[in-house]
Amino acid sequence: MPISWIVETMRKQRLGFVGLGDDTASACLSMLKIMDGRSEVDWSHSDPDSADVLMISCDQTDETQRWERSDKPRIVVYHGNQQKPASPFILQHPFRVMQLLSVLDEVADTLSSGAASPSHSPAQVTAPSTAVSNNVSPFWLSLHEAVNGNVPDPAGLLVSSSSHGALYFKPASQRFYASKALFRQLAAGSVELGPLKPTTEVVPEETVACPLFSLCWMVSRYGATHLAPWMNPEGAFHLKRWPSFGTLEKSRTHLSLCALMTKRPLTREQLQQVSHCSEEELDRFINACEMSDLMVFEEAVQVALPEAAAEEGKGRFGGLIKGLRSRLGLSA
Amino acid sequence: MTNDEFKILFTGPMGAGKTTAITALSDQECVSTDVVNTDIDQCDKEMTTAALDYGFIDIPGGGGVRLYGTPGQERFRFMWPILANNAAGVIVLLNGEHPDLDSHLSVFVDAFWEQGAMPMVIGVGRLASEDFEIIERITDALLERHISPPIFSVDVREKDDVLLLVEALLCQIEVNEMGMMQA
Repeated sequence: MPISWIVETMRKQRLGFVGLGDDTASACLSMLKIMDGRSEVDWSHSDPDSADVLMISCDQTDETQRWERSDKPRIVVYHGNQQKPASPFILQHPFRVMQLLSVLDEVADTLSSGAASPSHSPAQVTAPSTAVSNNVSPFWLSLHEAVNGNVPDPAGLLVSSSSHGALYFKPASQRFYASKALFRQLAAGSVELGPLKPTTEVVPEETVACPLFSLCWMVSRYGATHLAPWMNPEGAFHLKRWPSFGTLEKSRTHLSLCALMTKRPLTREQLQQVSHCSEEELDRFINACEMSDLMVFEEAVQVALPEAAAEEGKGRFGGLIKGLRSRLGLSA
Repeated sequence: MTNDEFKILFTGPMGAGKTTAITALSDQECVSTDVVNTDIDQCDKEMTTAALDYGFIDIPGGGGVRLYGTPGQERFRFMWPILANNAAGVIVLLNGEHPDLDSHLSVFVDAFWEQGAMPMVIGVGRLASEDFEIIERITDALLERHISPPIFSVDVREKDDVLLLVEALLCQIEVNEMGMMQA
């Protein structure tokens, strides 16, 4: 799918983290990648000294207290069990991309109006930027928000527009609705979807329904061409169950991935080693499974593969399975 | 059964397509033990399997795969463990439009799941191409019991659909062979 590169001049601002845990900082950095091109400002990460804006923990430590005296704009991050900070810019942890985007835009507006009076001039660099400079499409990003319940009305209807008609999504039932023609175009990868937005329309009668996983699979090839940035590529991936194969391409690679990942958590490296799947296809598969809530992500579980896993065809049935596949024309 | 052979079992209620699936795969004419169907309420067909269906796939270079079909009626249930003995995996076929689908699912999955030790694939027939509701209902029913085999909508008259079931089973057998037990 062609990506439309929109070149425009954009202000650059630097964001520094103070007192945030590694997981919060890491999540925030991933979100900044996702946001790239969606904010009014091109945000980048820097150390607190050279930052234009600070993202600071509400925990009272020596470090946070020192930076509280700074007159740089501060976004105060607090947990749900803590008192809401009395600060113009706050974020409750854990926060989502759209919430971060919203508060950063507020800070940017404040900075551009001069109200925040930063201690030094923020970088007002004009440079070519891109509206979509990472591998996550606006549709994929909006779908991620919707399936995680980050929509104004989870019981309501969302719509995504395309050149071949509208695609409707009901987060509550995890069903998509569109014309058969649009689903065909999506399966063929020949249509681009805009971000999902709330709508007061009703689903037209002539549409057909499609379950979440099937749609995720259809669009994952251009929704997120590499592992989505909100997932840790170093973690281990485990499937809760086999996906619905209603409209999935029924290739050996996918069947093999399902068989492996329903058995135990495996890293991407291990999955590639055993399934011989390409990195791109593996990431696409993981993305679709994750978006469909089939994935259990395990940060710490990284168990070595059994020796037998590396010895293809050496098991009790190994030779027979190979022969049977060949005999039935199943060899890929 | 010799060391260069293994067994795949087809099971499911009467009329789900076990004999058809085995016939689609077997190199030789499927051996059937049909008797007159006395349970027309369950399935409107003249004959049904009483003991087993049997087919065989020759593998070039020696060996082969034995295909066994169980009788579908519960009154012949005594045959099921006999046929399941030493099977590498089981393919459960269900009739998606049968009013007793849920009950059939429980009976046949319970009989052969063996706490996940036996690789299993479920094929649901006679579903409209866009009818994913039944597949999801079956999936949810099994998940409640912590059972999660692959489930496909299939038409066993189409050889490609039968091959899909076999491939899904082979993938699971391979994973078991690798020693990929739950960590």
